[in-house]
Amino acid sequence: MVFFERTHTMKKLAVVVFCSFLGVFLFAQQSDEVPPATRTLAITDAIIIPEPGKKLEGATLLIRDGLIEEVGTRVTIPPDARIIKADSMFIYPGFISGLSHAGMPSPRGREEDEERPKVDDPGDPPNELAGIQPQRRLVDLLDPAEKSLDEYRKAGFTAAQVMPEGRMLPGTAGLILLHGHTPGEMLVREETALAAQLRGARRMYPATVIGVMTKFRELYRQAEQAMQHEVKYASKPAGLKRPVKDPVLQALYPVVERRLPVVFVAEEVKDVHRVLALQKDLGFELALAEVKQGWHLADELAAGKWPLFLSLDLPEEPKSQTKKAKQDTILTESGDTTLVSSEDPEKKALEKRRAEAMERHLKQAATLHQRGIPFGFATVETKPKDVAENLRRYVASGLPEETALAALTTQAADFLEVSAIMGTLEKGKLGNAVVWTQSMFEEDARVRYVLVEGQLYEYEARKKGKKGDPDAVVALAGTWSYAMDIPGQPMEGTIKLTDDGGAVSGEISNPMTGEMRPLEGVSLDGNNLRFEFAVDAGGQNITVSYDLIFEGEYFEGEVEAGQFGVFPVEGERIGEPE
Amino acid sequence: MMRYFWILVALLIAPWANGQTAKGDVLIKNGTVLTITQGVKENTDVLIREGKIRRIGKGLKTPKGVQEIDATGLYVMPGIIDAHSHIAIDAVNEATNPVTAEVWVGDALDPLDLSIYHALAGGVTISHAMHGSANVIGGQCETIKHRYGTYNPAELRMEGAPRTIKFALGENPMRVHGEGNDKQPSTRMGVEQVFRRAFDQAREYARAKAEYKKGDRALPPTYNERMEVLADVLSGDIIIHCHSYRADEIYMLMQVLEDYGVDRIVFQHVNEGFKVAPELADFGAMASVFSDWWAYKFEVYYSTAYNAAILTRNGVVTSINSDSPELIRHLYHEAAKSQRYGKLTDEEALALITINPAKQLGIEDRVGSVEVGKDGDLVLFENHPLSVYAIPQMTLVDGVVYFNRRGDLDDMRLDVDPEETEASYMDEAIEDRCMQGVAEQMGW
Repeated sequence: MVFFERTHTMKKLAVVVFCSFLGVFLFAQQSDEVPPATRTLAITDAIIIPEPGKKLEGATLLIRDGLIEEVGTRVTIPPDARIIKADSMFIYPGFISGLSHAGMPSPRGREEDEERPKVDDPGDPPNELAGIQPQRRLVDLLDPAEKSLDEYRKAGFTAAQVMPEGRMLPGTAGLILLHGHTPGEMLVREETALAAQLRGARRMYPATVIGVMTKFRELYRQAEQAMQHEVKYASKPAGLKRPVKDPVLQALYPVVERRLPVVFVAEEVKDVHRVLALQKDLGFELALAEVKQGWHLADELAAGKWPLFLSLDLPEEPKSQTKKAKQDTILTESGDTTLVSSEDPEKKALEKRRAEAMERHLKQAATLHQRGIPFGFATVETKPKDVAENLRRYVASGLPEETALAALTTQAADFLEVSAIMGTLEKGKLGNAVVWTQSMFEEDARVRYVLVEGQLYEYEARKKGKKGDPDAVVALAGTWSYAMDIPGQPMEGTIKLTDDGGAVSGEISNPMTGEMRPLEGVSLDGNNLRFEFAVDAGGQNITVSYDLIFEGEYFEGEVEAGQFGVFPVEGERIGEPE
Repeated sequence: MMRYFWILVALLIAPWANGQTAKGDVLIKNGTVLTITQGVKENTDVLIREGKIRRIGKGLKTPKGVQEIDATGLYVMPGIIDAHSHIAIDAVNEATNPVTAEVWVGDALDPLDLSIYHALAGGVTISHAMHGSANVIGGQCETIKHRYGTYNPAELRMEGAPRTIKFALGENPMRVHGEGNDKQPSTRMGVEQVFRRAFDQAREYARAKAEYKKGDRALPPTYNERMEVLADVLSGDIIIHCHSYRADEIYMLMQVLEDYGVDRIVFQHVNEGFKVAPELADFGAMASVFSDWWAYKFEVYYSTAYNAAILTRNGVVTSINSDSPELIRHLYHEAAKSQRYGKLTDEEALALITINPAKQLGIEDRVGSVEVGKDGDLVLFENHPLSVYAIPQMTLVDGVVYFNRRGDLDDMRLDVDPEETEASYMDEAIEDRCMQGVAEQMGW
């Protein structure tokens, strides 16, 4: 208990420390979009995968006015087309996320750390605080400038089923294009499902999974009752109490009428069983999303035939400890010292079981595929930049590449009932495509272009450079953004660098306040820049050191913050030298 | 070692492939059978077919396809039943309201809880997974069978067991709602009023429903899960299990129930039960107590290790419960302590953890003794279960062996974290499970 409390305090302290010197400097990504000179685009000489299992070499994709005009090896390129040569690159249909929060304003801070919102009676809180908001609609919530949209595009996605952030009933889910100036422009299907999760309210009713399950049943039955009341009143109002319009219950009517499915986020095997129990009780149409332990549920999933979106969030391999078997010196009975291996058999057995558990997680997709269960992928819990890597891990564990691609394209389109307009590269469908530098399943493959309804997004073909190159010559001067990947508390800010003939200096922003502080101990070796500074963390002095590798317009590296650990950091140039 | 684990797991899981719970066929040979209800039978065999006890006798023939278990020198007794525990559930308290009759821990069953296996290792085959004691009227509970190895929560349910609900008196609900949220109840008087108000509302609700059914009302009352459940409590369809300590409040609740015509109640903990034992017996109330655990808060100071014996001798159906994932592993010792203090007979002492808790859960016609027709829930002991040297050797549920001391593996976890190598005991709960989850919801 004490241990946990301390860990919690440590986390809090870490947050305080980081806030005090790194903090968040939010810069909205400006869309400096100029109307394109032409709305005709030809990507030529590429390897095109028009749909999973098919391959065209030396082929051209022609898109006009947002729609696919032609796909093939003998495409006549019209004179007004902008031509992009994509020699040896791979073009796939644009990816579709089965469920995500793309385009939703990010929730402020870590709400678990916040005080409970003021409420008169925690046993009977207002619906919006209790997380009961099924009437919320994407058209009122989507933010076309939300930066997650570009993060998703950068990972190859062009469309996504999206649900609002929230708790038990956060709102209606819909299908959007990852592109557009207004929510209306983005929305392809305004209502695909009612979103639901077994996630209780914060310190108020329903706070626990038992509260949520009961509340769900009650609302459903109340909606049934309210509908009957309305029907009765419509046919013979005289002498009958007038039905009162309740927007929460009204939002459930299409679910009760089986016109709208419920898309339930259910990660673990127990969650899925609970959701299936609700479905069995009430009989609504169901879709399951973010499923992480599907191998336990193959029978149920095969029998239910529900749209299924597996999680693309895979467990991480533990940081490898020292490979060499540790050796200890012990005193033998005769008084000599001798070397023995301290490899603990109990630890070894535990490690073995951990590795087996990891294997089952990585094989989830392959296992369900072998059982003939179709699925797409959900990305509620996944960072878009991890998608390619996790996809490759699924494939390395036995998932056929074709099925992996189908899960992101044709199968997702089928579940979301948009096969007529997306999922494959075919004449007449939306111009949604992703161009990879090589096969997307290759380790070094990177997304080079993404097209959403014919709109081109271009991404730098950079390579991961983990090691510094002492002979590299880099131009550091200018303004850079940085983003640190601290679990639960990502932080962003800017770094300004000046280069006075090899003597680099600069300053870094406090992510909270935007306040700049000078860099100390700056050293540059080839493209490897290091600097540090000391901070006072509530009476404790901590040295924060950065170790960054620059390549072109990007950098990546690590930041070490004293006892709080080492965190990945990356960034890109956002301004030229003044 | 691991290979055997998977064989065991496969054995455990395979029978569920068709969605049915596993039923075993075994013949337990030549044991000393402590039937509880029909005396002690030496050198006796017990035949279990399809999960039910088919025959009890000497020198039974082993039918084809039936596994033989040699119990020579061992004691065979009915599986131990714990009338009060919080293992195998992911949520214990919905502590946000003084009345939460509508919630049900059966919605949060956790078949992956390692505590189930630990309980099996202590000979416990059935436990009563209860809502906590944060609220005056807490949630509905679930009687579970310890079929460890399944990933499907529904497989833990004891099909057909009566519905039960948790009530709580005294300091816990007063602290959570009175002190914590500044609402009723702040006092023991307030607790009584919370009951009366909830029952009155439920009566109204039930009446409105009945009127609608008869056609005397145009519309039904607005559907309300809480009222639905409370109406079932008032009509006697749900057995009340009430967390209680002091004699005055125990007596209070009996009076309240009498006013509303409810008579099925089991008092839990009931540390001052010895002061009102005749009154409990008169009412027909039952008692589920600790053998010798008290003084962990003010209202639990006036206690005695003679409680179980005094209640028993006054004709109150009494059980010993654990309320703890640790105590559940040695309920036979707890029963033995009550015997040591109160001079109970072997049969009386063993009844405290078998047939009596079965009566309290309304399942005495199916479990709690070794009788033909009952479920094949048995535990085999080396040495008499009331001896300090008693060691459970094998535990069966529905005739299926779920624990066998020979071949017991080091690591019985069903859900292993793929990211961390951890020791199995590291996440053991150490807090008072009855109030689990409350601090979090209260922001304490």
